[in-house]
Amino acid sequence: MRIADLQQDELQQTLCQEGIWLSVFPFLFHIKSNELAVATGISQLYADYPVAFQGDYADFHITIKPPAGVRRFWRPQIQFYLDRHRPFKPLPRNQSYAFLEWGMNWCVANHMHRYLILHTAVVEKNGKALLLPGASGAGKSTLCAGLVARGWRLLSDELALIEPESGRLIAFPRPISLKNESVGVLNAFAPEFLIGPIVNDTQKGSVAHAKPMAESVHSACNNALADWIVFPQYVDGSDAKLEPMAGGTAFMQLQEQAFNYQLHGKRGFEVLTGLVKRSDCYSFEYSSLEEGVSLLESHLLGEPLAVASL
Amino acid sequence: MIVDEQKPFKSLFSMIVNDTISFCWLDEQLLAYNTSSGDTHLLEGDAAWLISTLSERPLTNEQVHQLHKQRDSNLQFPLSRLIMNLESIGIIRVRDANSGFAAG
Amino acid sequence: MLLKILTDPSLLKQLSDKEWDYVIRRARECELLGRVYALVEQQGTYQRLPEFVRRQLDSTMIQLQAQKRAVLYEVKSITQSLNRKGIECVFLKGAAYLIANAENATGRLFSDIDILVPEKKLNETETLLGDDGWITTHANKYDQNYYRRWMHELPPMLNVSRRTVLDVHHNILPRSMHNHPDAKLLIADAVGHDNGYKTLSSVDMLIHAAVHLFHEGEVRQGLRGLVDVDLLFRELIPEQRSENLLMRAQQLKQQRSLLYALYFSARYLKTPLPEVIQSQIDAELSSFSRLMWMKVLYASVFDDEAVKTRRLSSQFYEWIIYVRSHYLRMPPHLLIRHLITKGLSSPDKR
Repeated sequence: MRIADLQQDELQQTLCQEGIWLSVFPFLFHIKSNELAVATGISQLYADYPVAFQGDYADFHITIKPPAGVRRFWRPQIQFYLDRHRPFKPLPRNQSYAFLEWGMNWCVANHMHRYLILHTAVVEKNGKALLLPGASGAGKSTLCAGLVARGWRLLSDELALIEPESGRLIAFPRPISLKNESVGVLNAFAPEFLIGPIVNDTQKGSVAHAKPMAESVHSACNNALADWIVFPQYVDGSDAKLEPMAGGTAFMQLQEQAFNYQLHGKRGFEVLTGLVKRSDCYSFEYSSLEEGVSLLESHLLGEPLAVASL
Repeated sequence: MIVDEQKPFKSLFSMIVNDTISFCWLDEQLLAYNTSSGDTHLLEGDAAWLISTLSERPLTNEQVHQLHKQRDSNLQFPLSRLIMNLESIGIIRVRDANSGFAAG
Repeated sequence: MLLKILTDPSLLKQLSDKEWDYVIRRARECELLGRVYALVEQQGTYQRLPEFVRRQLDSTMIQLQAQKRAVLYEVKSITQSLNRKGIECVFLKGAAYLIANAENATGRLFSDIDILVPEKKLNETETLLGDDGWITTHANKYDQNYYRRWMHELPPMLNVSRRTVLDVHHNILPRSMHNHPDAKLLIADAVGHDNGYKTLSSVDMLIHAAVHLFHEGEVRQGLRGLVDVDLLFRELIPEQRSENLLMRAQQLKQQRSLLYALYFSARYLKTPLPEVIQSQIDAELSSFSRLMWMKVLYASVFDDEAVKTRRLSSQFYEWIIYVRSHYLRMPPHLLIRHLITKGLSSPDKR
C-alpha cells in the first residue's frame, strides 16, 4: 500500500489515532499527528512511499502535536516528540509540516551513526553520483531540484548517508526543501514539479517542499558511488563558473559539513579521504539555475551546452 | 577539528612524537589525522613534505627527547630555521637547499 | 521489560520485534542503549538480531568507541594542564569508571567529565584550565554566584575547541547541605591506577554513585544510576561489601543514601546484599512512611512497567523529585529564592 492509495480523510484519521508506519528507505517512521497540515503534506509529498497502518517496530516514533494549556489557542504552537522526548522548542503551529521534515532529518542525523552522515545533496545519473555539499543558503537544494528536473535521480537533498564498509552512498530520498526565492525559481524552471504549501516567517525564511519523482522513490534501494563533489555557491548576478578544487581543500570543507565525522575516528578519515580520492572536486558559482544546470551537465557528462544558455 | 595554519608545525610535531597519526596525500596536499584527538590537519608545500618524511621513519628515544626540547624552544621559527635545527640533532640531512631535503 | 533484561540478559535471545522496539525506546530514554549493546555482545546474539535493532546498536557502538577515545584524550590533557602547578585531580563518575576499567564502564554513555580537586586549589585549577582553552559557562551573574557560593562544583567549563564539558568539583555534595562529607577523606583514599590517573576508591565510588542517584533532579537517567550502583557493588571484593562499606558511608555521612540505593538496587536489579546490609536497611529505613514515600516517588523512575501505567502521575513525581533534590541541597529560604529565580521551571524545560 502506498500513500497515494489512501483517501485523505482516511490518512488523517489514522494519523490521529494509531499513527502511520511510513517507509522512507532505508528507515521506517511511525508518525502520529492530529494536525491537518501534516496529513495534507504527507498525502501530497509522500504519495509514492509505502505505508502501513500497523507495525511491530519503527526506527523512530514521532508525534507532532500542540502543547497543553493556553498555547493551544493563543498564538498556537506545535511540538515535535521523539518517543517522550522533545528535542526542540515549540514552533508556531502553521509550521507543523516543515517541523516534521526537520525533525525527521534530526532523528537520522543524531541517531544513525552506523553511517557517516554529511550535510549534502546527492543526485545520480548513469550510475555516477554527484555530491552537492553546502551550508544553508548556498543553493544546494535548488541546484539539486534543478538537476532532478533534468532527469537526475534524487538520492537525498539534505543528508548523504555513507556506508563506511563500502564507501557507498545510501539513498534516502525525501521531499526537497526549498527556501525563499528558490520556490519561484524552480517553478519557472520546471513547472511540472509539485510543490507543497509555502510557509512564511520560519527561522529559515519562507519554506516549501517539492515532491520527489516517483522513480527516485521506487529505486531508493539502489546505492551509488561518488564521482563528483561540487561545492555550490549562489552568487547574485554571477555567471556560472566551475573550477577544480584540490583534494585536501575539498576534504576540509566536506568535513565541516559532516554530522558525525568525529564519532567515526580513524575509519571516518579513511572513508572521507577515499570519497575525495575517487571524485573530481569543484567549486561552483552560479546565479541562473538554467545556466548552472546546463554548465554542470555539459562539463560532468560531456554533453553539449544547450543553445539557450549560451 | 583544527586547521592550525599559522603554526602547523608545533601541533604536528607534538602529534608525531606523542600520538598515532594517519596520513593521506590528496593533490599535493597532505592530510594528517590524529587518532587520539580526532583532529585533522591540512598541510601544503614544504611543510607537508617535511612532516611526511619525518613520519615515515621511526625516531629513537634520544631523538624524541631532543625533538621535545627543540619543539618548546624553536618551533615558532620559520621553516628554514626549523630544518637547521632538525639537522643539527640528526633528524634529517639537508641534501641541497634548493631541491629539497632527505631523511638522514 | 528493560528491567527483566538487565537482570536476566539471556532473555535477549528471544525478544520479538515488538519487544525489541519497546526495549530500544526505553533504553534510549534512560541512556542505557550502550548497556543493552554490551549485554548483547556478552550473550553473543548480535548476528541474530533484526536489522532495525542492529542499526540502533551499531550506532551506539560507534558512539561508545568515540566516547572512549575522547574521554581518554581529555583525561590526559586535563592531567597535563593541572600538572604544571603540581595539582593532582581525582576523576569521578563516567571518566573514573573508564580509568578504573570497571564493569559499568562497558556500554556506559555519558556527556560530561567530572574531576575532584582540593577546595583550596580551586582557583588555581580554574586558571590553569582557562589557559588551556576551558571557559566557564553560565554567563549570568545569578548562576555564577549560585554555583560558587552554594554548590560543590564550579559552573561547568567548556573546551572552546573540542566542545567538551568539564565539571570541576571540590566535594560530592553542595556546601549548602548540612551533611556534605569531608572531601579530604575522599581525596585521602583516592587510588592511582596503572595508567597513572586517580579515581576514588572502589568503596567511595559506590557511595558517590548512591549519593548522586538521590540528589539529582534529573530522573530520566535514574535507572542508569541504579545500574551503576548495582554493578559497582557487585565488583567489590566480599570483605568490602559489608561492615567496611557501612562504616565508610557513616564516616562520610552518607549512610542513608547508600542504604536507599542498595534497597532499590536489590529490589529492581536483584543486587545480592549480604545479611549485615539487609538488616541495616531494615533497621535504618524502618520508618514505614519514609520508605513508602520513596518507593512511590521512585517507582516510575526505575520501573518501566510503572511508566506505562501512570503516564501523567509519573510526570508529577518527576517534578517532585526535581524539587526534592533542590530541597535537599539547600535550606528552605534559599530554595524558595532559587526556584523563584528559575521561574519554577520543570526539569525538561531547563
